[in-house]
Amino acid sequence: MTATDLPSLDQDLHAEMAGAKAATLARLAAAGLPVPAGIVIPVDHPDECLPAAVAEILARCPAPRGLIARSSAVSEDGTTASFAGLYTSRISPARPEALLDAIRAVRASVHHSTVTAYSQARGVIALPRMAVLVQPALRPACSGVLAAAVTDGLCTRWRIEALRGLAEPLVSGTQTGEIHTTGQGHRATVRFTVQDTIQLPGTPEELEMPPGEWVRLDPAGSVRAKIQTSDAGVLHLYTPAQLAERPVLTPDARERLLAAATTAATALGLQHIDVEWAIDPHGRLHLVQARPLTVPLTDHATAGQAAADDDQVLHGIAAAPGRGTGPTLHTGDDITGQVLICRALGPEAVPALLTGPAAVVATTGGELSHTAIITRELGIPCVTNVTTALTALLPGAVVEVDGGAGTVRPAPTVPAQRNTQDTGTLCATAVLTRALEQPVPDDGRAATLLWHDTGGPAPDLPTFGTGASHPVGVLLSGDAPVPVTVPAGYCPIRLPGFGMMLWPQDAPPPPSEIAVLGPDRRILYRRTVYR
Amino acid sequence: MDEVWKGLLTCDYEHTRPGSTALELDLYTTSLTRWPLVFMDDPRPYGRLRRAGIVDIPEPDHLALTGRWHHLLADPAYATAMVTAAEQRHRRTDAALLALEHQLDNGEAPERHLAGATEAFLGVMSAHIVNWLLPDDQWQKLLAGLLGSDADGRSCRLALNTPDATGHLLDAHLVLLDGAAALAEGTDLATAAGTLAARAGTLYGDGSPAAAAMPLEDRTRADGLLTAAATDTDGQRDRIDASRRRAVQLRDAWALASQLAAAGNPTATARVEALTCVCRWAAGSEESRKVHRHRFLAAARRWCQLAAADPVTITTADLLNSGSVR
Repeated sequence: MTATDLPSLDQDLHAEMAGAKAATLARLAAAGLPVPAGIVIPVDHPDECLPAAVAEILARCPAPRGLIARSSAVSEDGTTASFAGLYTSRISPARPEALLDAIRAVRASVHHSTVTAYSQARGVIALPRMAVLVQPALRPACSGVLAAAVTDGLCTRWRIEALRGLAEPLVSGTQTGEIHTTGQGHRATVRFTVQDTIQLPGTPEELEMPPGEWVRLDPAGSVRAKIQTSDAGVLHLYTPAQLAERPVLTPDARERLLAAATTAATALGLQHIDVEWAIDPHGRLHLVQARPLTVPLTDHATAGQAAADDDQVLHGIAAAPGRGTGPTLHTGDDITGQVLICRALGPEAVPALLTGPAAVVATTGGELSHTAIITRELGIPCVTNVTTALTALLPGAVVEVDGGAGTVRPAPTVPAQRNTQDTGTLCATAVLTRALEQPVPDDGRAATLLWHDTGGPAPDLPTFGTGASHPVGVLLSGDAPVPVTVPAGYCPIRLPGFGMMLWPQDAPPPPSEIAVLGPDRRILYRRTVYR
Repeated sequence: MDEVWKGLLTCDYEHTRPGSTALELDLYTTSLTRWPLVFMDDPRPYGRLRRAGIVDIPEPDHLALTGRWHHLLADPAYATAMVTAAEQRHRRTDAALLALEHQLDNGEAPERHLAGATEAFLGVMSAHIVNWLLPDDQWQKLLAGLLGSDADGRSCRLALNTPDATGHLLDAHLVLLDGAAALAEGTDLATAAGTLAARAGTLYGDGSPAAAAMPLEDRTRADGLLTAAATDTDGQRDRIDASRRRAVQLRDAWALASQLAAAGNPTATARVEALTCVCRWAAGSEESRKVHRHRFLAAARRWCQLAAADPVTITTADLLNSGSVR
């Protein structure tokens, strides 16, 4: 095989040989659209010739930030089934063995079980024929996906999702992007997002730098980002604070993207198109994939709402149990019935917290953070470490906070106050306690049991039963012999596998069910003990 | 702590605590490397200091040290001893800080006390690992299994994380209410403001007192807060007392519930006893560590003024050897 055997995207390619993705990109390049250069390992390329293909690619493709080996299956990107995300793409350093591994992984993905399941579900046949498109890895300022309906040379309805850096977290569904959609009167509406980390292909030097070091994000080097980690040729960077508040996609870039999508749809003869795109740090647009849109764009309002319902459940750390629903606010003196969205709380916040908020959502902190501690002390449901809360939850939005599950979700309205107290019936239950309450509670319980800690001081037996309308006994755990003096009028009862009970001789047999109550008389736990 | 990278875990306080001074970062990373010594008397360091603010921990060291600690934390005798020792460190730090603050208030050379307070406080700072190195997942699994559901396990664990003493945010507000009540009873404003500034001045305001004083360290600025707080002080105090009482009752009820659930199973009983002890301590430890940290940083900053040192660039080593810096 010679150094010119492998076809490239600047040639006329056919899907049967180069796969659908590469063939489509070649058509777009021929139409003058900005498609990154790429070399194709054809469908029938023999396995034993792959090392030579790798050598040729490395000789022909300068790739300071590595290469990306992308699936280009004959069956993908069809009009009824896209196979989107089912085949593998791999970023690889520009080294022979690494690139060879990446190419083999991409070729093997044609046999994924998920591909079979998907093709059966869509009623199509997935031919086990896979070409591999290899391109220099782009280092985008932002990238994403676009879905559009094109009529008379215009994108009439469209939806764009954008992220800083690579779009992989968006495509894989691990990160919600900034969403631009057609609004009323064809004006764009934008839903911003918070992106904690940015993924970018790294140079060999950058990929050797440990987490905590800094890399330059822009050509001028004025914006630096800290490395969170790196893996498989990709840097994971913390989003710099100076970028966090800026939109990902500018209106100008959006218009250029829509224009390119229109041209692409015309070149491919499509009325509904799905495009993956990237914009480099110099502002240049690149189209990296185009295919028929297999799922139609729905009405923008409905689609937006559905996405919002699904996407806007925020997850944090369960910090103080309980549920609270109410309108959100970011600051205030009287926050009764409202959900406070905040950073870490300071003592200045205490007067407001004493007014009875429905819940607290904090952007930072864990279970032992000061915000978590004070909300537990005050009995306010709280979720911490919802890093996006201040931007995602605008004042006035009604949300339900589940402090036990660590979630914050949109709520249509503030519900009437719920009575979650579950006192249950105690008529056949003994209530376990550490100390006898005075006055003795009259809550219908069958008995009170005083817990005796193993090795702890003996219970104050002479005071048993004082004024109680029910029997009072002692519960001891462990299988040791009788560890305390049994008072007059009491008898020990063995509880196999549990311990022992001291019980009044003249009382009816003790109940077999034992419960512990919370301060609001709710049953926290109930256990049956057999004699 | 992020994921493993080439066999290393990295603790990056530059990222989690942006804007910190070198001393603040140094306190975290120096104390982090020492936690095995502090809690297990194990001389192996927890990782290597890359620079103030960043520690790299070889994964095998991390697994060995945390594995050993988690094993020990299942033993009630170890848990009790560990908590007792930690509480003694807090008391020693408190005493060292009091002595240091007294010297600073009197304008006397405080170097010896500064070094002592630094050494004592580093031991307290090592306890910040409770935020992510406790076996929370193991405990959650144990409690959920005993109590019958993940939700009850979580509610129990959260309730157990309630400190014995009032948390520092409520406590600082109670200090304010004390001052407002004293004003109402005739104490002059300057005295009340001075007391507020001394007892809680470093806790009000954003950030830390490492490089610049917190607003209420200045007693003249405490005046306004005191006069504004002078309404419904009894009502606020009653609400705080009632809430705290209820939180502690809930904690104790969940502790009893978990003991009842574990009864008859000696291993589970021991683990419940140990985790109950550690959770309660950890919550309180984080509250008092914050107070000590702000007092320590404020004192270090005041010493810098005396010694013509830069509070932004000093390190723990400077303070431990503070006699030579002056």
